[in-house]
Amino acid sequence: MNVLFVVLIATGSAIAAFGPAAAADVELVVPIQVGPEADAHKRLAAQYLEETKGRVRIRVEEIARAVHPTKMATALGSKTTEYDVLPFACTMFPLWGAAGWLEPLDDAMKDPKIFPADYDLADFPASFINVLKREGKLYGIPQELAAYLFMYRIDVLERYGVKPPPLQGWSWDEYIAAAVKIRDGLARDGVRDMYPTVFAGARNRNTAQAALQNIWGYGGDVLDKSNRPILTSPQAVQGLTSYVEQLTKLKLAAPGVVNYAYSELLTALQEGQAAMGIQWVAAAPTLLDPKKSPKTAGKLGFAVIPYFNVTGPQGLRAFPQCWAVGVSAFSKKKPDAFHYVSWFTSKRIARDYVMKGGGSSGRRSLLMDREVLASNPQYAALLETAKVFHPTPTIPEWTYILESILTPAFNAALAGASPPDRAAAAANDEIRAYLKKAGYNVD
Amino acid sequence: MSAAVDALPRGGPRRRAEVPPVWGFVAPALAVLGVVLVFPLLYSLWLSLQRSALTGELRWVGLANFRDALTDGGFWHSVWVTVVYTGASLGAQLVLGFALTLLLHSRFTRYPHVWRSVFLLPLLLSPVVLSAAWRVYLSPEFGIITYLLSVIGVAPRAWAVDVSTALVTVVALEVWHRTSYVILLLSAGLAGISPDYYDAASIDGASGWRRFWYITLPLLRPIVIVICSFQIVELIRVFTNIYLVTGGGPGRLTEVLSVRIFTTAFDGLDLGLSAAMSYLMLALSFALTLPFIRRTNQDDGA
Repeated sequence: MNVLFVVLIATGSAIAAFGPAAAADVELVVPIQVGPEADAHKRLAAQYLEETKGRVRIRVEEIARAVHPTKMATALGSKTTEYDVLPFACTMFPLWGAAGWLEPLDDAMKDPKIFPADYDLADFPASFINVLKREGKLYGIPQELAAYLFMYRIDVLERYGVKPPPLQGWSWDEYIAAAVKIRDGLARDGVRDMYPTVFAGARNRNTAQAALQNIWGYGGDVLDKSNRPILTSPQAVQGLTSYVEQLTKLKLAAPGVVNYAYSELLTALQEGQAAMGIQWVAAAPTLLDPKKSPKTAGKLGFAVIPYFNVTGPQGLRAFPQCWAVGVSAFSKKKPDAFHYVSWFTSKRIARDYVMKGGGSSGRRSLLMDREVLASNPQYAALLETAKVFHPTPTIPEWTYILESILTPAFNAALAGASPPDRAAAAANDEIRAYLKKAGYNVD
Repeated sequence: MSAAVDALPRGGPRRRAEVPPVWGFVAPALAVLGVVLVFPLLYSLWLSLQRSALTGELRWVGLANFRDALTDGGFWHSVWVTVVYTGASLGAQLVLGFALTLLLHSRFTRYPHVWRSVFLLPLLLSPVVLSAAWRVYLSPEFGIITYLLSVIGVAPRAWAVDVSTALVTVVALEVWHRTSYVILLLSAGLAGISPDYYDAASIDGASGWRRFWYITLPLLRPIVIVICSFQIVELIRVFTNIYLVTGGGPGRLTEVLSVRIFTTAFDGLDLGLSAAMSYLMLALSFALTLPFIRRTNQDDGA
């Protein structure tokens, strides 16, 4: 009997000590794609619970990167009240804003209890704040700025006598020449598990975004100022062809690159399977971490993506991306959601985000901070890249055009299913039909 | 008249207590069926007659979505890919299924129950797990299948995204996944064939091939018709394998109807057009299975 009593007491104590914590008053749900952006929300959730004195708990719902846009569109389209705080890519805003899925932040920003006096909205670049505005109202705050960077293995370039690029990047011809030199050197040394370069090629928006950089770099574009498709212009076709020929003609990347998106690119660089690559800046903290990436930590350099001579190094060619946080228009806990958005993007927490591997920051002051730059060498290239960001269309139909028309077309060209000029022509026709059906005058 | 018939109550209304409560027992099932089958069918039919804006508003357009689908080259391309995928998968499953079933039932096979369980394993796996795993297995850089093929001299290749092998790859995955279903049904049918037929044929000097062609095949025909009917319906609406392994690519080479419907609905937010395409897919499914259903009815009539 005594033994039973002791066991019961011990069990009860264990449950009290290690069992579920007392429930918070409010739980905010944050749906976000898997990756460093989600990791930061998860890591900081405990701190927010503490700072709200146990009142507000953050629950992060991670969604696979490939299906995040679709899942969110489905959920928000059905006006779900399940989600409260919405991280979203800025490229999604034209659709989300037009569809009324986000709550304006303007009124909340006037409340000093939610957005304190020292919040400093002007610290966020105006160009990105404007991207997140619709009809004069602000719907999101940039959590981080993102861009494709040119990343290279300093040691491999040195081994094969290639001078590293300047911060402003190589020209496309210089990049190809370097890649060919590395390819020939690898072949001479009998190295079979490394390719000169790696880039996105999967049937995924990463590919469309990356290929667009070549199209813009060559002076082409998808839509003109009147939203008429112009993907069949000689500049656009030549730009797409240059992207495709890296693989199909010059064999500078692994054949499997046709199935590579963010995760595969990261793995390829991490495992030393590529000497250079064009990859999102968010991958840099992982690649620079000696525990996660022993092969690349301390050996990686960063520069702006290559430019084309026709538009020059100052030519606007980089795909502008940011991750923003906003509040769901259908949330039942909007005041708490506004507070979390304000807290998460505050100077103090944004600094924590940057310094602990969360990614870059939406705050200009942090990207220029000496301490931040010292431990994040990629931000110098990011700031330089921001100077050559190319504007993207703001029509709500742009999301579908990018994800479901350009993506398969560019993937088809890269896989050899269609020559670049025919892939561009087919996409052009499809965009025209789609916009015409949506009511645009495209004739 | 027999005593049993004499014992039956004569004329008059049946008392309430004697009426079996049939509707009471089936009502819950009918209610569930109504919610999960009838309502979605009717709602999607109503949706197919609407044009949906990106903001979610609906506008009546009658048969315009059906017209848009039927005049869209991309839709017909998806129909073609779906038919080719269905035909190739079904053909391969039948051939491989027959071969493995006969092997299982032959006297040369030891421990047939063990082998039957092994063949059943792919069918037990979730399509999502299977597809995600195969995507990694097929990687030309880190895939196990790539490595095993390289051992026998086959150069690494991006099977799932190569123009010449992408469709073959997803068909192979489908065959690997669901041939065991064919084996299950054929095994049951084979077990139902009396050995007397084979004994009589052996006495008459029939070879193994002639026994298979004149006894096994004809007697298994009803089972084969059932297999074809069920498999056609499953293959026409395939989604997971293709969406996770190739995404419909490279380009749109493996974009079957269900993938196209999915992207139209959830990327384009065009629920009306996707609902219309769903009904056209239903019509295709019906058209392809109708010959088998008619054959079954003829056999039943005979």
